[in-house]
Amino acid sequence: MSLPRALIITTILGHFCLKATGQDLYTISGYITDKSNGEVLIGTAVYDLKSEKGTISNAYGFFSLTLPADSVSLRVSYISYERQQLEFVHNGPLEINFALEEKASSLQNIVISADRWVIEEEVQNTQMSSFQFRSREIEKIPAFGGEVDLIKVAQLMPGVSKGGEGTTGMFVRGGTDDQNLVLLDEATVYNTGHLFGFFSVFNNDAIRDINIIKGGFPAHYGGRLSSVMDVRMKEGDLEKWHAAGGIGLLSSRLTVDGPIIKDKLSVMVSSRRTYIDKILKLTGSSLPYYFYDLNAKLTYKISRKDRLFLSSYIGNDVLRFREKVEDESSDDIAEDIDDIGDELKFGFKLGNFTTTLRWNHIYRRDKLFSNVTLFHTQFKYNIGGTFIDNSILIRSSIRDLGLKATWDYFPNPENNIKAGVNVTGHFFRPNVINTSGEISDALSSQKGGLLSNQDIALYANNDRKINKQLSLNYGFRVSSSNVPGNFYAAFEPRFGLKYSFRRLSSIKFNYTFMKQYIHRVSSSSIALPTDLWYPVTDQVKPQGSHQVALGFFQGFESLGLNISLEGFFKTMNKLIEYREGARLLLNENFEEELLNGSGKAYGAEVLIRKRLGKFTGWLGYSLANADRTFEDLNNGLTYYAKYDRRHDLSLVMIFDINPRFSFSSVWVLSSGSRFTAQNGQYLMPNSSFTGVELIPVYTSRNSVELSPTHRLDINFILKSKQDKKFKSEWHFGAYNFYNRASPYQVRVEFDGLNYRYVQPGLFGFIPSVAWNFKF
Amino acid sequence: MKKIKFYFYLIAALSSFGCQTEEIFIEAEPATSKLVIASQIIPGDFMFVAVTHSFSALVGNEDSISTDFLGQILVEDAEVSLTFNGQTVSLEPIEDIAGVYISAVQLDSTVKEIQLEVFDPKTADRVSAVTNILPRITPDSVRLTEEVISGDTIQTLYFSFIDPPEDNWYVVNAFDPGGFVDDISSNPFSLFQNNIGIAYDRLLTDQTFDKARFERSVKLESRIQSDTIALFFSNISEGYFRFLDARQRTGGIISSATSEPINHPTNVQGGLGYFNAHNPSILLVGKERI
Repeated sequence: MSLPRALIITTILGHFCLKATGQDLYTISGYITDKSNGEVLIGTAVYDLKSEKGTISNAYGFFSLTLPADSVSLRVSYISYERQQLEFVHNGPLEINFALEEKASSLQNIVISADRWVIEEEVQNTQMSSFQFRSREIEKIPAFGGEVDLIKVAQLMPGVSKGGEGTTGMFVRGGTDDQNLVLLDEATVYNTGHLFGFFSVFNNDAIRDINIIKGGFPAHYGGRLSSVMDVRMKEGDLEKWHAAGGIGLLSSRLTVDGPIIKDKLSVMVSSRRTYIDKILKLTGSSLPYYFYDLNAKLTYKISRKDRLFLSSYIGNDVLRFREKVEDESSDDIAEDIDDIGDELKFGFKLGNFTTTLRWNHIYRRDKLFSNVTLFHTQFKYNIGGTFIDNSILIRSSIRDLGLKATWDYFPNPENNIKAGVNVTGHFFRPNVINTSGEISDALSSQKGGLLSNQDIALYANNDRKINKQLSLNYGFRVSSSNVPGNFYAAFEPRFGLKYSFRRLSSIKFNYTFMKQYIHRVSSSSIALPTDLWYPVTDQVKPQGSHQVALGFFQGFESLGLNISLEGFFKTMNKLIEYREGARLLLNENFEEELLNGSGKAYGAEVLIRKRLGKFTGWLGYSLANADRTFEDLNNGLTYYAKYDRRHDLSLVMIFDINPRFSFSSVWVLSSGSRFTAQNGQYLMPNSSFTGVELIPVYTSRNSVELSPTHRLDINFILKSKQDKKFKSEWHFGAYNFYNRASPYQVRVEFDGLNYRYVQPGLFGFIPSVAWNFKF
Repeated sequence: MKKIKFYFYLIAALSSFGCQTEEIFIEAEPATSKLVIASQIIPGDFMFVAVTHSFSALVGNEDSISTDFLGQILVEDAEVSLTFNGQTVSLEPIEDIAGVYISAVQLDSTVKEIQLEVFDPKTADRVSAVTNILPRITPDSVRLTEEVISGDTIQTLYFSFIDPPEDNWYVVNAFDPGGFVDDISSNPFSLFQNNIGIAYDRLLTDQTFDKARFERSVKLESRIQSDTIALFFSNISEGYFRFLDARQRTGGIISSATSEPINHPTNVQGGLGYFNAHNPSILLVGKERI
């Protein structure tokens, strides 16, 4: 029996299995929000203690639970929030919205029963290989330069390896950085880093929560091989106005949200801008560089059953360099500054722009919830310069326009069905070059050409509880990409299983097949913001991956912690690499430089995570191997992936010493990344025998392992009195507290006597201070 | 405003506490020294072969390698032989140019394939290579024009040739022969010894040609000062084309920083470099002022 047929039959059976008992069934539905700011709470457990049936709220905070007519004892619980319990006779359809209150003090070291349910939920959920964070959890963790960064927090989880030091690159389970699907309110974000990747584009003040999945992907996610990072922006409070902000070492932030029409229409606006340029100006230096982000969101509650969300993000990196250049060849004495030589101008502007319009609708009987999203996303860069009579402008862009429609169907507590369609048009314009003057002899203008393809995906997924021990999650995704001259399509099955042999112990298994129809063409030796996104073409085929994972999950209620041990095996095919010696910069025919190959990754991951009590944090460790095989690279021999880090350990500790003082630390220890080093050289005459050139000899590809790296970051938080309306807090932190180099390359250096190989690190001890406020 | 200024100064002061980390040393296995071969057929149809040793990356770079060190890597007493048309001939070292060997026998048009054997008695390194002799192709037209436009002197090189029907690869070099015009045809090493700069250097593959007669007109990147331009035009093997192409792709500061590392292809068994037998057409053309 094919999987789609099996899904349909199972769904129908699931729907009618309760009807067969002859009892009347009624649906309890509603939204769950945070009482303090109206933000919806995703993944809140709604559980009937009498029938022992339950559900969790979806990505929009909506829940639907269909139960037989009977007395009901409904318990609603979410981590770190006061639980709510309601007893009533259930004899008709009922809508209840819950507004949960954050615990007055999360400092109790005793884990109360409501939170125990959360410990159990992590064990009993069929989803594995995933992490969730709320922005409030992230802000306590030490941050580079004091800039709270959710991607760098994600890098501290097992299976997520960092790229170069301090950068936001993510290499998940042996994959590449472009195999991560990063979504902001459902719009794809193509460039996740500012300042060459040292800071993420996500302003934590504008973010509500983040969900990272590295395996066992639900069917509604697709298009990337290795991970999904689903980031949701905050919504404005429909009841009260709030403001929050902060001044840090590198940037300042301000967020305002509140009702435009009370209980109907709210707005949230959040902005961030760096001021390296302004600070240096005060000291007499000049670095005309800055980046900024602006997030905005409108939420409109049309009726009980309909909500509209309009959200947008714009962020750019800007450099504007301008200098008068003295004309050395002129003997005249300049009388005015404008007469001194010619002006040199150089600059760039690159960034993302995303917009999504979403409509949530609850259908009659409250069992069916739909979300329809129209989205637009764009990443583009412009680099330009003028000098004397020469000018150059280089542009590149990718733009997506699309529609997603998803239906969540809750026929009964045993089945949670999700199905939908996703249509995306991609428009690429790589390497547009305009030159004038003498420079056009060396670099001619080129239009770059417009490339486009259309991706369509249909998907369905059911999360089914067979009995108390066994749950299945099964589904499929049919994906396709229409490119000029070709049509690619794939059937992507998804399967997950959970078997619990005790209330707080389970094993989970999943298998996924993923396809990727777009890739980023980037160098392995240097990361440039100008790396190109490029669609599949007639020659460049879609990438694919099979992944299986098996895990053991254990909860400890009294300690408030969860432990997971996962093993995975992943194969990848049609991976993209540049051929050796490929020209990367402004190469119009770079498709000819691409090679297809395969890769595999396997490993074991341990996560011990404590989310409750005074002392929270986690210990993550992964032991992994990732390699690549390309017929035309490394003489066809298998070689290690660049960010193959054998051991990767992170220890995150957050200690709330008292209501006004917290201390946190991050310690990371990881094997070095891989590198192709030059270890020899020889002399050869040039082609006309008019001189000699030095030709380098390299080791085999990625055969040098950089030294292991370890680093300690710390952070102290001092809060103002919490009973006042205006609250503020000081953050005092330090990155790389004991000033240890994290090698990022091998270089040959002359020490005065001899040449030797050295591994430099980018960042040493960097102190930071930030002041945050909210009212 | 005062508070904001104070805060900026505080940030600037804190930034100054940032420290630079100490670099960590690492031991990397040095590349094994190998014999390196470079070769060409020179006017008069004699084969010349240069033999050197490769060396560690820790010796230095182009700016720091000393003449003494160069003396160490040139292989002076190698046994170099060529086998073609069933006969084996030894190559003799050239006086005053250490590490360079030349055949006493001319390679006439009956020679299609040559095998090279090199043995260095000092290190007991032995390498071998095989290459084909390709027909010499000569451009049917070469011109260098010079005109002054808006005060700028523009020099344009024009050349054309007939591309034979089989797959071919070419290398074209043009340069200012300066005071060595008379020596070029008989002794191209005069250029090598005097390190003359190249004005035009291109690799061509006929896979991109749309007709049998290939014509090109290019503005020269560096100016020819003398009244004559020297054009070397060679029909080369695909393997040597790949070798030169790798050099062009990765040479220069920007390319070497942004391109992927590459070990240059070689046809030398047990060694490095490239054994090739291209026979350049050498043309000397007078400058035309427009």
